[in-house]
Amino acid sequence: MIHPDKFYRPDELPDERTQQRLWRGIEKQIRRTRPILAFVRDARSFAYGIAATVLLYLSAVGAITIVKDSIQNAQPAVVQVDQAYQSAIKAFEQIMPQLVSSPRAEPENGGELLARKDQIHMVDKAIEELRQETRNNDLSPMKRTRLRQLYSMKLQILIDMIDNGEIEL
Amino acid sequence: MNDESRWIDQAKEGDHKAFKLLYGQYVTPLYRFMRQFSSDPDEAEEWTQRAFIKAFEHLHGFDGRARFSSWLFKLALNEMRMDRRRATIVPFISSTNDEYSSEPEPDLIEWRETMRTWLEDLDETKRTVFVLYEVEGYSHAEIASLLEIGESTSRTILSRTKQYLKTRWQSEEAGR
Repeated sequence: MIHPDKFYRPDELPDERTQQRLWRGIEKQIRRTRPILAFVRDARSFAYGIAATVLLYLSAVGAITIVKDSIQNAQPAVVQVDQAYQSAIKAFEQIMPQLVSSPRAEPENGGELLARKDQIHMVDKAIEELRQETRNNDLSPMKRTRLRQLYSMKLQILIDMIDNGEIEL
Repeated sequence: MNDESRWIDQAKEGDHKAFKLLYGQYVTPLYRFMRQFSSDPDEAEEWTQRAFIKAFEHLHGFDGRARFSSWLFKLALNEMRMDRRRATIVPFISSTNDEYSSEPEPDLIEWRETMRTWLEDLDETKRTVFVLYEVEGYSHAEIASLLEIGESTSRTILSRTKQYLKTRWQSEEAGR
């Protein structure tokens, strides 16, 4: 092996001034450039931040849903009574598909069923009109009483139909 | 963990002071090596500087399996090759410089100049293998990795280069 001191000429070695000049150029450049590792770390932090934001969003949605449910549960008793009527009516209607099918499909009691359907249709129409007013926040106590009467009326019709055997379950 | 590994880790985090310590350690070996490929000191400075900048920017890619210096030398050689591809190849011309800090022995000056003359006749790869192995003390495994050649190729190149220098030496002696 040849010793570097023997092989290299002195002018091939960087003197102090050259070394300083070189470093100044390097430092100037690397100040502008961040090492990629630091960039990767920042990108990772960014991804964690995004994930945390998504989790926070989902938590907020969950919290809002819970609050909304709580508010609904805390609705006035009158509203809850209305909702109970609606649920009961819906449950009865689900077990009486004939009410939504054509009366011509039931030739034996088609006329009777048709009359019941007309009756229900009229009650439904009245209910819908009053509910429309409810959505517009214009429901006086009298109208509210009327709405409950209509619910009760419809429910009674459905119960009568079952009790009288007017509909096959 | 040795000092160099610690400096590398710190520099990877963006620590300029740690990188300066690495620079201090390797600027001389790298610069003197690159001077073997150009008679122009400015050109050697340029390759050295760019290699250090690239090293800082891509330090995350250095996995520590090879020596930091061999990775750095590779970056500098790549910079040189890029320039050479862009421009006309500048032949290696030995320059005599009168600004020696201390006047060496006349025999040594003659030996150096003779060596330069012979080496300039070699292609870049042969010259690189010879200087890295015989002067800088790199192993064939490191040279192979640095030049992206096989280890046995590095051995063969060195062997042929030494044989060539020996032949030149013998013919020189015979001519005296």
